[in-house]
Amino acid sequence: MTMSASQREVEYLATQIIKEEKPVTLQSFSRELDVHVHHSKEVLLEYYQKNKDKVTASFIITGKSSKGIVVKLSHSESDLEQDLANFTEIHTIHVYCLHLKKISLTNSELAFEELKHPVDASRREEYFKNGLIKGPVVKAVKLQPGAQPIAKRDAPARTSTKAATPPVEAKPVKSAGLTSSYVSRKQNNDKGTGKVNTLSNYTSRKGEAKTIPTKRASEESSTGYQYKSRKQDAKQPKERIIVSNSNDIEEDFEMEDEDSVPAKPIKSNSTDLEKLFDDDNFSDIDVDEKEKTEEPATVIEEQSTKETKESEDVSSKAISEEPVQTITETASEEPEEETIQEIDEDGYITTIKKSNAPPKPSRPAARAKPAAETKVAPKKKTDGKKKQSSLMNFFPKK
Amino acid sequence: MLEGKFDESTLLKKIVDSVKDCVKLCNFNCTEHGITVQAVDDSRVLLVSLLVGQTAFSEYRCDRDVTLGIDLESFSKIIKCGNNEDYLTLLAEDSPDSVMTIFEDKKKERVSEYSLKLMNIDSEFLKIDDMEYDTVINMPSSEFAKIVRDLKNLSESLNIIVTKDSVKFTSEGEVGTGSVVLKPYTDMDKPEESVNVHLDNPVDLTFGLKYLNDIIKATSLSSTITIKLADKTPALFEYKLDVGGYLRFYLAPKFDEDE
Repeated sequence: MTMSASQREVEYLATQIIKEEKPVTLQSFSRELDVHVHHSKEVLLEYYQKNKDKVTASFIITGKSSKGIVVKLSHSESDLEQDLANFTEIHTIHVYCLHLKKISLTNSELAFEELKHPVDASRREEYFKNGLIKGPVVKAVKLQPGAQPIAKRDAPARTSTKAATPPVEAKPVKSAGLTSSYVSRKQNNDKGTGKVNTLSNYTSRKGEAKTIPTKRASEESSTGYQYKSRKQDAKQPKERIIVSNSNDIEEDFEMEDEDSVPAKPIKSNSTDLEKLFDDDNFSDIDVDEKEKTEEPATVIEEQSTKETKESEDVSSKAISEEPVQTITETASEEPEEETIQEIDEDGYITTIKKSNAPPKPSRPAARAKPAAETKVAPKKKTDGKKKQSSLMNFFPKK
Repeated sequence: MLEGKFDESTLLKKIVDSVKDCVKLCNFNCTEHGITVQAVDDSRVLLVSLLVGQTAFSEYRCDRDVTLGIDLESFSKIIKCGNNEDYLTLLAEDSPDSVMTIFEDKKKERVSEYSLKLMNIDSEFLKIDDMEYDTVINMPSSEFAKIVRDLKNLSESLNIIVTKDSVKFTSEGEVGTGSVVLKPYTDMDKPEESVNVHLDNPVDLTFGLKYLNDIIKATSLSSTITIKLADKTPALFEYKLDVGGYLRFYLAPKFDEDE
């Protein structure tokens, strides 16, 4: 048997094993001398066979046993036969490690021998060249679309972005990947949001606001609408309280009014209640009648609601100024005030509360009439007749 | 190659939802500056003009001008497939027969892509000149939406009268009349809550509430709406996109028959 090992290799083995009395594994041999592991195995075996007197060898057996696939480290050649018996099928047997017979090492020590050598990632290429099994290439591609099977295994590597390679163009062939060559945008996250924020086109409109008159409560509403902002009245504390109470209730009334002609059920309830409080009933009926004649209605209500002279003055002023519109005004305001009575006087007298109900139904009707009177004249005629114009009348075709 | 990346799919979702009820088919014109759309509803009363500026995208690239003829109803269905927070990417070739919409979940490892076939849409492109308006109103968009929603119940027409110190919306129908009067109001803390009226000439215009109801579907796009009015001229309702761009509606007014 001719020695396939070079002079250098034999010398290395001799120094390491015999002189330094260290074990030499096939990997360390391969690494140190920069030879392929296959060659390293051959050399080790050859060296072992020629120096059986001094050197002992451990072997690695791979194959199948009853338990499945097994890789077994066999401590020495003598153990080999015994270990082989455990295998049902043997794939490979090769030498693993050589060391002097006189230094006895356990299997574990041998196995750990390799761990003493740190793996240097920068020398990967070297390792590969010498037989380190190269797995599928791991690319730092973000969810590669239209990808070959490799792409799946790539997934975990996505996080390592430093080595990002340009994405492979997608192929229309059916695959688990996306048909578009979409690349995950998660990395871009920070960039993206930043951009959006900084480039926001929003322009503050505070400046504009200053240039424009902001008087809210000017009394002359040139639209012809005579409603007086109640915010002015708010200066009078008592009224203010009334307003806040009334709002909620008023809404309820309006709901009923819009949905249907809701008067009847309320009426029946109220009549029952009215019976209980006959005395008050009379006075309330009076109120209803008077409401129809605008001015007294407001006055009476207000009187009944623990009013101050101030509030009376305000309402009467409003009426005196514009008799026509007071109809709408009173219509909207009366229910509020009556309901106020309810709430205010709940603590004292319950009668007024019940009597308030009957006026509700009568009001929508009352409301509609004045609206028709006041507003129909100028606009309603046109409403039906108005004709929709076309944009084509205004914008020329390009 | 068109590649537009939105940081969230919400924006496009809102835009499509705002427009799809008044125009079914429209051309998305993509240029290097962004995406524009001009479309007129079937009755030719309402014109939609959309600009999604480059800045609305977290990344935008358009090598060559591309026109995407899109069926908004279908597009809307596709866009609804994405969650609001998903990344959304639009992709199209240079002369595309389809447009790709891709959603990516920000947390989970989920990417979905939808391809929508494009259509050849003949559209009349109208030339809209910048013009002087008699009145410019800035107001909260939600406020305007409420007015329209409320008054829509009463009639088909909404009359808008703007005078020196107030804006009056009136709707008169058989069951009754409703009107809402707004006055300029400045909210220093929340400028978007302010109502600003810039008036050169008083105006008195009437519009179809049906169309206004379509317009207010864009309310979610912006907290404010700018309404520009001029006598006997289509009104301009503009929702500015905070991220850059706008959605504008031009609405032809209603006239008295004899005029």
